[in-house]
Amino acid sequence: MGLEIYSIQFNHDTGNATSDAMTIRRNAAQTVTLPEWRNGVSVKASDSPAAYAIGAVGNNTIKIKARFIITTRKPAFPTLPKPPSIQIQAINPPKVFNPLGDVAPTTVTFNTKGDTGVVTMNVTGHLGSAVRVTNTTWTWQYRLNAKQPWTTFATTQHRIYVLLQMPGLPWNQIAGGTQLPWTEVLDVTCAWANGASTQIAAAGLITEHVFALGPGTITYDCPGGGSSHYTIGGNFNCTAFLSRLQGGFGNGQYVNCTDCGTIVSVFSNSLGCNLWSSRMGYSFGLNPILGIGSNVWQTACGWGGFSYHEVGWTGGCTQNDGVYDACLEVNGSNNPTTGPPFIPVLPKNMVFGATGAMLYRDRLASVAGRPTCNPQPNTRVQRPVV
Amino acid sequence: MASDFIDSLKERFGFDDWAMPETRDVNVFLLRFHPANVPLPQWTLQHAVVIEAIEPQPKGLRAAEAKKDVRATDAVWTQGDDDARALHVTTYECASREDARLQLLRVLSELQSPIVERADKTAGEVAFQMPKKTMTLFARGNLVVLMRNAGEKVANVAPTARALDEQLTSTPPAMSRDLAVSTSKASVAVGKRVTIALPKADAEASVKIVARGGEVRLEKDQPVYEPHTAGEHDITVVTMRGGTEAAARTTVKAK
Repeated sequence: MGLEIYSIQFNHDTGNATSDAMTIRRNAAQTVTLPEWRNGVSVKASDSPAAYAIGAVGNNTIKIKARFIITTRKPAFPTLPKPPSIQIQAINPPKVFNPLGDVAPTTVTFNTKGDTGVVTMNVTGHLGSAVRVTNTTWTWQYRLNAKQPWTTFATTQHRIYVLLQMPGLPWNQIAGGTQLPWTEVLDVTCAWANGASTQIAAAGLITEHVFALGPGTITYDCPGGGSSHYTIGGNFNCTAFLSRLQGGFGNGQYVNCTDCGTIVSVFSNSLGCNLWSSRMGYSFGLNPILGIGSNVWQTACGWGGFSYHEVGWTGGCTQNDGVYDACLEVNGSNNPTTGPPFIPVLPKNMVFGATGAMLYRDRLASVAGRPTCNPQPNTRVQRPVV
Repeated sequence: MASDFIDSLKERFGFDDWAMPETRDVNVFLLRFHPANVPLPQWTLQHAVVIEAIEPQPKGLRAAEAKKDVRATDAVWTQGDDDARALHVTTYECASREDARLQLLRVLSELQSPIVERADKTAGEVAFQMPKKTMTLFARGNLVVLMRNAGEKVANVAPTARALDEQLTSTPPAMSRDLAVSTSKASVAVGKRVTIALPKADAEASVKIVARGGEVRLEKDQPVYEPHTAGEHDITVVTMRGGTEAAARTTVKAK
């Protein structure tokens, strides 16, 4: 006779995520099966994922639901006391941070079949204040009563994502839908924005990491006329882009501004930001810029201008709102219309600005191009992922 | 304003000259186009996705150019296992040739480069390209094709675009005994329409309809033929599956 964990469920209230995990899926094709951890099925930490939003949980105590059984497969387990109740807890390895902390000691009662049924247990940790992804190990222990020492009977592994807020669109919490947050995206975004405690910082780190993908992973599509490769028909082909990030071919090495704006907004929003991908224009001349994947300061591909440009954008996507542009760096010098000097500045929450304000518009567009480089907020979108 | 953008695009690309499809003796209509069914010579299909009904974006453009659903495919081709040479081909399947011209304009609106140029001799009925032919965008019948490089080694895509276009317009030399095609009426007045009853084909097959003397469009999810001139006109229906084609033909008398 032995003691086993049958299951652990982190997302046990799909209508809320205030004291449990939010609803997530793995990717476009695969869901996350509940309970997340199942005996004999879950082996690696990534087999048992759970995501929490700092803003949604607040100061609430996070609860999990677990089920324990008496089994004949395990080594000897002492005879159950009468009534058949014992205490169970889970602890972290020393000095290893787990945003969920430990599982607080909880009294569980077995029925005549040696099954506790689903038991609600509190965790002791707090999510902290910053984005992170952590692989955790819980060591499960029992004791027959408060006077007995704890005895270890199992270990389980989990991957815990900590987000700032509930993910913004296109991500949602519609059960069974493909726009539930993807763990394959959170694996990337939580690592890229690790430690960010504000939406501005998180979106800025996402922007930095996307731009830094050039030229090894992606580069601006000069040969294709600046065509999009990862957005199609209003959708973000996130599957193809993730493949590219994971070393596959995806849809190839080229991107345009629509791709970059979409990646920045969708990835940032997975962490709880609320960015849009929105356009400016139309048909305007450029200052010298450093396009993604390029080491040459020039107007884009030497074309002289853009017919339009698209970026990650905050709020109403107006000239008063901040721009996150992972497609290019602008010249941060006193005179961005020419160079040297060229002082590369990646626009991260850079206000679009009025002409003459020496903000994003002036740094991107040539003097002659500025009057036709205007925010086009009616083009703003939060593209669904496929 | 997005409508200003559309207007400027129309002017820049001379949209009024090609918005209304010109009368052609032979017209092509594609249904359920899938890249795996229309192999590109010397290229290997790596992957393809189908989006049954795209949502034209951005919304401002959708409002300005509202139209019927468009079915899209997105495919990556490489030369064997060498992904240094790769093509990214996106297709948009529209309900009519006229709709395809609008879709062509929409795709033009998604190109950032200001130096895209008209290039009708490259492929299709209306075409645009980058000056060094490293990107080609063309409309053939109800299909819009965007072909561009995706690998490190950049190539002229025009020959491949032309080869694809030839596949889109060709018919097999012999008809298949196993296929049958018919129309709802044997004769029809010029300008009126008859419904085409397609041969039964498996759901994975693509269908190509090559019509003489008129053109085909989709109405209520059914292909219909509308003759432009009087006479007896052939309608050839070709099923395409994995590079294999089978064809059947019927004739409509236009009065």
